[in-house]
Amino acid sequence: MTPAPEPSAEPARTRPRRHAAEGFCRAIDGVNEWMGLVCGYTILLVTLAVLYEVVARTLFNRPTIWANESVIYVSAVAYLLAGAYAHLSHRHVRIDLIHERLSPKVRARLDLLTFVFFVLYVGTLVWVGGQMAWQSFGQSETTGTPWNPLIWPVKLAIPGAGLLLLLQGIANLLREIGMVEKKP
Amino acid sequence: MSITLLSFLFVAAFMVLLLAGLPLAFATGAIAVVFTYFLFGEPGLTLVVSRVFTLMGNYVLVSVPLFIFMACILERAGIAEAIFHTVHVWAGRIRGGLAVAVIISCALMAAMVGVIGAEIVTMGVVALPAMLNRGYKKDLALGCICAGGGLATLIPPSVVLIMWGLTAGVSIGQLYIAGVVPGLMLAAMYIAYIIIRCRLQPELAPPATAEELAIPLSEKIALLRGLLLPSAVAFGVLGSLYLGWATPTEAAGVGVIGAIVAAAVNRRLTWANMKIAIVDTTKVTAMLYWLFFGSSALIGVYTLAGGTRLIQDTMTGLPVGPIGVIIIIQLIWIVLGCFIDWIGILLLTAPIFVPVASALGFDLVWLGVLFCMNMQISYISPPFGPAAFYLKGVVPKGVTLNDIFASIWPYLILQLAALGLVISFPQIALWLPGTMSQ
Repeated sequence: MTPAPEPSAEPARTRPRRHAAEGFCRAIDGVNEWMGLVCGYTILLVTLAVLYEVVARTLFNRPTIWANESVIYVSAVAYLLAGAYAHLSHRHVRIDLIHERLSPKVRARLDLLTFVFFVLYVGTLVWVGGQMAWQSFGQSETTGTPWNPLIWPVKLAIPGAGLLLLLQGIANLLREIGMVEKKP
Repeated sequence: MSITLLSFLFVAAFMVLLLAGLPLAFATGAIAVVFTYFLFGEPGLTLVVSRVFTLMGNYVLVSVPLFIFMACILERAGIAEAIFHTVHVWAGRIRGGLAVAVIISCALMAAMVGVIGAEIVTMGVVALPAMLNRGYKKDLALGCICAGGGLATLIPPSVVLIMWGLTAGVSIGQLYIAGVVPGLMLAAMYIAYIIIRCRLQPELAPPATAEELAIPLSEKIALLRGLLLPSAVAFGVLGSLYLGWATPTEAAGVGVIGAIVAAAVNRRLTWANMKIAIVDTTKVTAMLYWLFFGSSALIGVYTLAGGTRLIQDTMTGLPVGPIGVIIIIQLIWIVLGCFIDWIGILLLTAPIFVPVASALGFDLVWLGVLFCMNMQISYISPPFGPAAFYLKGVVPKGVTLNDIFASIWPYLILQLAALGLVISFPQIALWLPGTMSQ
């Protein structure tokens, strides 16, 4: 698809910056779209693992030590990482009864305000979560169950998901405040 | 700073962020971060992250995506259309038979799916034109779809009940079985209302045409076969929970396989349909998980600051008696239900109300059923009842949102009556789980 010609009234010097912002948004959308699908497909693995455990336990009386625990952590990591995908498709529940009725200008200001708080939360997940994951990695921490897997990959998903969400939040904001054209 | 002032600041900050348009999941998390930093300094922030990590290790939480996945597959499989067609043929002779068929179809669908939305949309597309074409008044046709669609909240496998079980720390199996009788009771009340109203005002619902009534019995019985598999899936899931054979997560996993088989039998099992089901499941589940993380962090810091204790002491100290406290809780839920989504209400109020009810000696399974009944009310009540908006999305031209809200009043009254009944006679909810093998 070729980009529509820009209105001539716009000063020429803002064009490169606008292009950069647009490219950024598209790239982030792409990454999270891909990540969301990859995470989503794990539901098939989870279903199979649950089924395997049911059959092994009830028919053969041989419960596994790995099925329940792996199902827990695979889906937790998947839906944590898919948080940005849900944000991309505006699926996070919000109250928009006032927001929708405001003028675009006021709305953009409110979005900037709430964005600060959004960053405080996901920033904490990235920063503090990153430290916790690093510590867990350094100690080779395990879960302490019979299967006893290493736990740092699960902890690493917290800052990872925070980062993806932060990037998607920036992309969404750029569209909301009108720096980048909204998706059709 | 006094805890009362702190509580006030909590609520005020929360309301401002929510109304400014920040999604609930991030508003809760952000407020948790701000207050944690303010009260306990930077080291306290590990609290926020470790609440997230603790939830990630929860086994029952896995049943949420599985049940949603099952519902999405069944939705794609066209099960609702098949059920409505069969029930409507069978209910043909009753005055208001189409409206009765909507309620029965919704109750059957509710036994397979745990979230509202899909049934309302399907009934709006399939049943509403059928009713309007036959000359049903809008009032009758719209209300039954909204009310019937809400039944998925109460009849297992309801996602609302899973979330309640996780938050209140009670058995999901018990909750599911407890939802059965109140759910069927409510469906029966809706049906009784429709039949009585059509008796009194026959002009509301013209009878079926002779052509429709002339369907031979053999054909009617053939239609029933289409119901076999979906019913087997529903009973398989519920039965294995009732008999204690499977955990909710396992029952959900088996339910997904059953749904896939049902889709295959209906010749709707295509890769495109599966992909849509997976994408929908991913988005809804990710949304629910993040809500859970945020509100868990918020409740965590509020409890640590002593706020939860304060509310609990205040509520148990009220001079209204134990049942008065329960009624106050219902009123709070009904009011909040007009503005916030069920999941937000559950995650924010349950951690506070559950210890109160527990201290007063009430059964938490029963309270969970009451919560679901409240959320049914919130689904259809104006001004933001989601059921009305789901339906508005698919109604033909000429039907307004006002028409929809005007049609729900009788059902709202029935729901309140049912809520009153279950409060007065807890056995309606608790009898069936009491017969479960432990």
